[in-house]
Amino acid sequence: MGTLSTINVFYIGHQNGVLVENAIEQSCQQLIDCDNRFSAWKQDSELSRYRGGELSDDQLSRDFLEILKRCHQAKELSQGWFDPWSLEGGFDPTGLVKGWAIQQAISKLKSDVVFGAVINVGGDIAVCGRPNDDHGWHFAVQSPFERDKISCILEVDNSIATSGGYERAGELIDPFLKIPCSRLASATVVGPDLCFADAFATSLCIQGVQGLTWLKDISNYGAVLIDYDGESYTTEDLRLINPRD
Amino acid sequence: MSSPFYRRIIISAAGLIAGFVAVVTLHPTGVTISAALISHRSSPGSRPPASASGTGGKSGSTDGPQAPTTSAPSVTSTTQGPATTTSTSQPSQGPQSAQGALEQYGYGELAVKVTVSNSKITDVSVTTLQVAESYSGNIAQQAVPMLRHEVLSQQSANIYGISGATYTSQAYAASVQSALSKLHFA
Repeated sequence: MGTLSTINVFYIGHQNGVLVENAIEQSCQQLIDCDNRFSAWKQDSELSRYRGGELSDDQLSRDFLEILKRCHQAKELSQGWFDPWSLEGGFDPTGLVKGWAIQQAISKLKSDVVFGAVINVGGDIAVCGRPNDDHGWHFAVQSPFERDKISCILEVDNSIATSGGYERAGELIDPFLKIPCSRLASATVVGPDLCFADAFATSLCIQGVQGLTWLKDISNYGAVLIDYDGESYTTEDLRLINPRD
Repeated sequence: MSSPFYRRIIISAAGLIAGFVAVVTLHPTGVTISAALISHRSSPGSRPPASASGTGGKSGSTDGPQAPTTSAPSVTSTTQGPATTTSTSQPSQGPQSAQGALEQYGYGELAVKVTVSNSKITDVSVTTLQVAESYSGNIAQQAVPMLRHEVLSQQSANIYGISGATYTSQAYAASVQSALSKLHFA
């Protein structure tokens, strides 16, 4: 099962190419390191060893402790709808780790010669800087109904994540009912940290439109929700872009 | 101020992110389509090739990245596999299409056709799609049109990506690139 990941870097001066390539390489390495540490599929990953009871809390790496902390935060902020402890097989932070990894990776790309960079891993996107002087980052939200259509275009300063029932059937689990469940066709969250955007998108997709009641109270995060009737719901602060702009 | 440049790297992944095949393209900002380039697919859990990020920026063509005023997009790549083909034909302004090489994409094979007119990609379509099992078929049905959309939208709407599901074939990217190479577009 493959997910396409892209890294785009906008930089100044052709002579700086090597510098940029090195940064890209570090960025890729960051993603790979995160995967090795937090993969639920790799038996020797720190996560797998933790789940298997091989590691106690005081043996965990700094990154792992950071993820645990953020999982607690995300669970609290989402009023329990993001709950990596509710899944079968033990603690599974996958819904947050990917965003965290990408956010870590994008920081490796920041430098004096880079004026903009974007990392897109399977539709979860983090950016830094700006792509050009005229406008900011515009990202399309895929239509959950028609594969080759988009639902809207959003301007994004930091990150955007989308979760959808169409994505991986059965992967979204209601933490309260413990059954596979997605009450929305798709949920997109924009915000300052992809780690939380990712977690919130998953939570909203499971919970449904009611989730906007807690999301709107989290400062700097916004959402676009699309239900199965094609009806969309957005928070007020989102910047929607006309496709012709 | 010196001219801005744009660099893209594609990494393929299995699981969360594992093992990548990476290629860098380099061309002036403002030029839109950067055809995704992938040389071959990675196997789950594999380590990346040491030189994975390539050394883009060396273009033998006169409208290469060193000439940011050119209107023709230039895409430079370093590939490590059999994906790209080269062509010595001259660029043409009329509509032209070329079929990309047939690529293995893990679940089957696919090839795409790319149509270029006046230095713009006007269509991308899938000409061959063979999948091993039904699950793969679903993936292909989902990913291929989306990628098609991404390829087309990136050169028209200042969109830098699509947030959503991406079950993706690096093979698609490779095939697009191969078709572009045949058109001397890349």
